[in-house]
Amino acid sequence: MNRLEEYIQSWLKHRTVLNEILCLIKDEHMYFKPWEGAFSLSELTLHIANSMDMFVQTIKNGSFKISPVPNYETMDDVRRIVSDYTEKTKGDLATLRNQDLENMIGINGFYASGKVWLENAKDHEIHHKGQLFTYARMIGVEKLPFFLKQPEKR
Amino acid sequence: MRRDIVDQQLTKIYDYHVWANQRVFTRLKEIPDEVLEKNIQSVFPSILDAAKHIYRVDVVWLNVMMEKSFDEVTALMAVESEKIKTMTFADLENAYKNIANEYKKFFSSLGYKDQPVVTEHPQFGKLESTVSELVQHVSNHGTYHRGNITAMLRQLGYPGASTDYIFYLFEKQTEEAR
Repeated sequence: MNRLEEYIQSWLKHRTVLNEILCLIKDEHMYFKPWEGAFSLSELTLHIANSMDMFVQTIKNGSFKISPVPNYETMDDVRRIVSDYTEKTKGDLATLRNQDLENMIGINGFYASGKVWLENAKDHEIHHKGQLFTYARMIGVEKLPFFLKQPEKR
Repeated sequence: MRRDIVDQQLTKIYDYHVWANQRVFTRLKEIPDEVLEKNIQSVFPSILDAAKHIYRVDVVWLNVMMEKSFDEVTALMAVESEKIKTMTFADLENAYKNIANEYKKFFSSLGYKDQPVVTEHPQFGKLESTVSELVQHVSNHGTYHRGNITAMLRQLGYPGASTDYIFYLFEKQTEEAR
């Protein structure tokens, strides 16, 4: 397995758990905000998926590129959008070339190589997933999954 | 990937983990102890419990990297858990500094070279990994729980600490340029 494939597998262990936790969220909580000015639960979820897409698009494109988040009305919509982003990001990651990872790219005034942005992307997703788990607990979800997909027990 | 790049990455990722935890500790120091210990509805009973968990798991993985057996790690953690229970925030910060030093001593003992780690878990079976992969896991675990702590702080009306990997890299670059 090369380094990029290892990255994809490692990231998917986190994204799979994001999907699992979204299955525990009901429509009535999709606009839950734990403090004034926070992302709502659905906004935070889509920020995670859209940001990963942004980082990968930007690395692939060689310059900053972000797509608008599709419209949504229900948690089913949110789950579907995340699922679509996951498939798209998986495909985009697989097409990255070594050169894409070496190119220096600016995001928000910070310049770093594609591989640095890729590490930052995963770290960003995990950090916000930590916040999302906190939201879930606050709305009363009792049994949360482990923070990443675990191997099968024997 | 070239071996020397993996070796550099090993210490850099761990250094990031320590830097990010330090940023969180610095923020937590500004907050009254009773807030850190306040029970709230969240993923941990309190912010202090969340911070203790990051420390506890760091201790576990260092011992796994040193190839201690599951039973040895379990016995060690039973003792460690008793100590953690009564730690104040100040105690935890000291304990964290100590475990970070233990990690650095361990990396030094390896000559800062990556190496294989084989461990056996009674439920998950045998894991063949490397020190660098486990260090990445320790860092990701910390990132996830620092995310918990950020949200818990906000829940209690306090700002979180910014711990993005990219900020770490820029801060280190600035330090090295001095």
